[in-house]
Amino acid sequence: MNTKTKAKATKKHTISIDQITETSEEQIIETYSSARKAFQRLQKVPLKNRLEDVERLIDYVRDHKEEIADIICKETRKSRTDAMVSEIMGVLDNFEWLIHNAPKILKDKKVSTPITLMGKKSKIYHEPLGTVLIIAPWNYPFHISITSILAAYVTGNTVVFKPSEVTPMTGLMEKIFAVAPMIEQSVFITYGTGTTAQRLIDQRPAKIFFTGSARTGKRILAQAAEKLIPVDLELGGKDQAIVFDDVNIDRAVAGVIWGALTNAGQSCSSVERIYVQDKIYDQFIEKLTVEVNKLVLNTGDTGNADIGGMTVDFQLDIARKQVEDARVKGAKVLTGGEMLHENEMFFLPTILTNLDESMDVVNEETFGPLLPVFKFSTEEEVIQITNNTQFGLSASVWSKDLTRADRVSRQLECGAVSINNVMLTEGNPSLPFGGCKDSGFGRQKGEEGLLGYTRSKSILVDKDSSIIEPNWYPYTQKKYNLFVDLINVMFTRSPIKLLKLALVGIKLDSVSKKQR
Amino acid sequence: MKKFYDYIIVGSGASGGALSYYLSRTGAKVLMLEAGKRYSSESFSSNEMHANANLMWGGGTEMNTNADQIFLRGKVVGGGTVINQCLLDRFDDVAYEDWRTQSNIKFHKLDMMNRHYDEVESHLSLYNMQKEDWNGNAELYAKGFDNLGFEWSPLRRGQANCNNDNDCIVCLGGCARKSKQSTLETFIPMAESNGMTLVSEFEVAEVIHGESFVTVQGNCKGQPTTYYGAKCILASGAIGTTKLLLKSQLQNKLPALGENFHCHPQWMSIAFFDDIIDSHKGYFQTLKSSDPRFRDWGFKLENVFAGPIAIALLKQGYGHDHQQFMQRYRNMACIEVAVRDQAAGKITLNNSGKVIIKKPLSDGDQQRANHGNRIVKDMFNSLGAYETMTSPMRIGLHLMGGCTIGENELTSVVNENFQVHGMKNLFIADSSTFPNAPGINPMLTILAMAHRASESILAESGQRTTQPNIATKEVVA
Repeated sequence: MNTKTKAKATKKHTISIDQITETSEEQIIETYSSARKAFQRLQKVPLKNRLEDVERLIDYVRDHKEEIADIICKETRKSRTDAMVSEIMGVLDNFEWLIHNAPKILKDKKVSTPITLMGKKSKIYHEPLGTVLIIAPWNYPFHISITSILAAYVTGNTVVFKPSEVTPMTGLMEKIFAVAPMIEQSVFITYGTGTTAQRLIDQRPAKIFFTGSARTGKRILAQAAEKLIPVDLELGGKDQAIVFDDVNIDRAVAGVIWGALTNAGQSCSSVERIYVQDKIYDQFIEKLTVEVNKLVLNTGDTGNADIGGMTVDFQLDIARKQVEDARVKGAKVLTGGEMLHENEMFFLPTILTNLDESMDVVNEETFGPLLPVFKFSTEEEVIQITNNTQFGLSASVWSKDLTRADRVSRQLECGAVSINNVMLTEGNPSLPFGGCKDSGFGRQKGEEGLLGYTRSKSILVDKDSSIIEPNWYPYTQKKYNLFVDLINVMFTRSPIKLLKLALVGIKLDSVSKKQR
Repeated sequence: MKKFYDYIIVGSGASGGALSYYLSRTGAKVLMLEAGKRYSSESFSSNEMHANANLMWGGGTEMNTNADQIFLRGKVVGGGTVINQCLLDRFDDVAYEDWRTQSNIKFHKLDMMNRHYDEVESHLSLYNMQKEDWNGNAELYAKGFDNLGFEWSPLRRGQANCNNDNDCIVCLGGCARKSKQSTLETFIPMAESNGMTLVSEFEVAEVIHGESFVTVQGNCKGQPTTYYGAKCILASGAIGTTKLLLKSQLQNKLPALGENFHCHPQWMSIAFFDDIIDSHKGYFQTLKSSDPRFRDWGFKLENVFAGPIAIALLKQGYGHDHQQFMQRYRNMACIEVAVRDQAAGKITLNNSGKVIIKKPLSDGDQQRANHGNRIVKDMFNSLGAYETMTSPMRIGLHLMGGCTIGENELTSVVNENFQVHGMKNLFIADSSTFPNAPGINPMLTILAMAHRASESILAESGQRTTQPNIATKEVVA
């Protein structure tokens, strides 16, 4: 856990694996042993105290937001506003939500007990899983990491955490967690690449939470299967924006642009396919081009750059290759289409039209600042076409007709739909986040997300008494006949069902007390 | 990649023009952005009204908040060098001494600046005014000085093969003979032959400084356009550069931004003689006050004149009185008092992004002006003028400061390498960096400073300058 990692960026910003120190197997074994001991300690810390720790973190993050933004921007090349709003403000929102909602969600839950079990009480306890493993991605290295870690901690787990080797932000989490000693003692930060991740999975965490690519997700799932470790996977997407012809075009253009280009398109739920209804298609394209041309790129800015850089060179290559592939196969590049400069990790926002199924940009995830635009004519057609993808993370539907928007949303095969907005389900910490198909499974955030860090323990309480249950031994013919009567009475729609039930019940009770 | 340059220069006046040449001669990819239009010697208008309206910001009507001072600043390819008189003097020890006291910048020293003056002068055609160039106004000026026992000397001007033919004053609206040594005729064409790209009618709205480059966003003929430069150098003058940084919302990072704005407030005195003087003819500016007493007193006297529109503006009132005044245009002699101002002004933006220039006149400034105007009056009286008039209005010449150079981040905007504090890719190399008013025409020094800045910028970019031994030279100096 004290492994130092140096992911040194050269002028070409490539990450050489040789420069990254992996965490050794011995260290990892020791880490898990400490984490499991810490779990025993943490179980004695009430939720109230854990939530006070969250408040301490809110104070720290709020007071150190500029410093944290500096680090995020340095590691990712984000524009500063992207870092401040999506990462820092998003984290604080999430923490506030935890404080206000975790007590309600995590408290022991009473559930109903059927009449046949009269006199007994039923409850569910939401218990922590133990020591969980969180493997975070590089695109939102602060938000995804710290919200996952805190969800795990608040629910009572200890955490082994591995940041992406591309954006380790070495020392930052340690510094933040130092304000809350119990968190500090419950979170174990481990640096390294996939090799370290494999070693971490080998130690059988109680659950793995992975956010990243589908390719890595499959590898993790395969390794976890061997050891029967449950896994939540938040993978990529090829999210569609569906724009009907009754919208305010200016607003839809502005929304779609932001959805496609925020974080330079490096979000799992970035808009990656834009479907515009034929009647407004030309007008939409024209406006889109004008507006995209107004955007400015930079990082290390003071908050006034729109689009930041690409964090990793292989992602930049994908964007470049997809544009090249589309161009060769006949696509039109309306603006952008190239790197800002050969030595800078920036790709110009790129509008593509004249696209067809043969092009990689239509089928594969880009994770870059591309805006591929398609024309559609009918609702049925756009649902069918846009569902025809291996991914299913989220989507946006733009229409003045909310009934239509709702009808379309229900038919889209994905985990979230923003209606007349974009990527906004993520803006509400009460809503679960996660996808289907190759976009993964499991949910983060919201009640469902928080409960994903727990396992339910069912409790049924009966009183100590002399009562022998009728279904206990001995089984007699008389008892059998009464059970048959009970079934007949219980599953009938007779108006005097309760009365009949009481009669059979009394008989059964009296039979239960008798010996064979 | 077509939008990415090694260097983007904002502004094409003395500073931008010189920089464009010194940066492009290394083979670097240089872009120059200029808000004004590009004219050529053939396309300049000889109409004074058109010249003002087309070549200056606000059509030559920008004023301070008290509305008692006009600021003239060029908005044209070549900037102020197109509309000035191109008087090219080096600063003296007095000026540099005063600068160094305030800035603590070690090269604010004449003997350290001389090699930069030498360098820029080697690309300029310089001309010392001769006695045969004098017009009637100059004759009176020299005689007046002699009458009162003050020293005068000829002016040095940047001009080539002028063959002056009676219309020198017109070249304040752009020289029609390719003679005046504006950057349009000197450094800019040299830079263009090195491959520099010039985009005119591009008004920069914002500069966004980043980790490894600067984003320059603006409007090109109404179209939002963005360029990117590994380094960006602002050279839009005291008001232009300051305004751009204010519009880029950098005032929180740069507390001294907009402070310390200086100029040389100028008062024109007009005297009437029975004889025809024809001050507008020929070389209308040939002599300067070189008496050391003027330096001590904090002003200088210049032999100047202006076109009829500008002269008409100086006279208050209207009707017969004004008509009578203008009827005697050919009988006018004119001497101006230009004061080394002591009270700094301040440049800010209002809520709608318009420049607000606070530039009051201090009692000390007023005393200097009164002193100078008194001497001018005495001179005219000694020459037999039957009437004299001191202009009630002043013109702010030579706009300086707003982005002062210095060591302290609280009291200055750029460091000794001309780098904006805390922004390694953003530079300023124009008169906005001047610590105070030198009392001498600044154009040559702006050119020389731009040369010095080009060396710092090239060194910062890891490019070899043409003078690899600067460092050693300076240690010796």
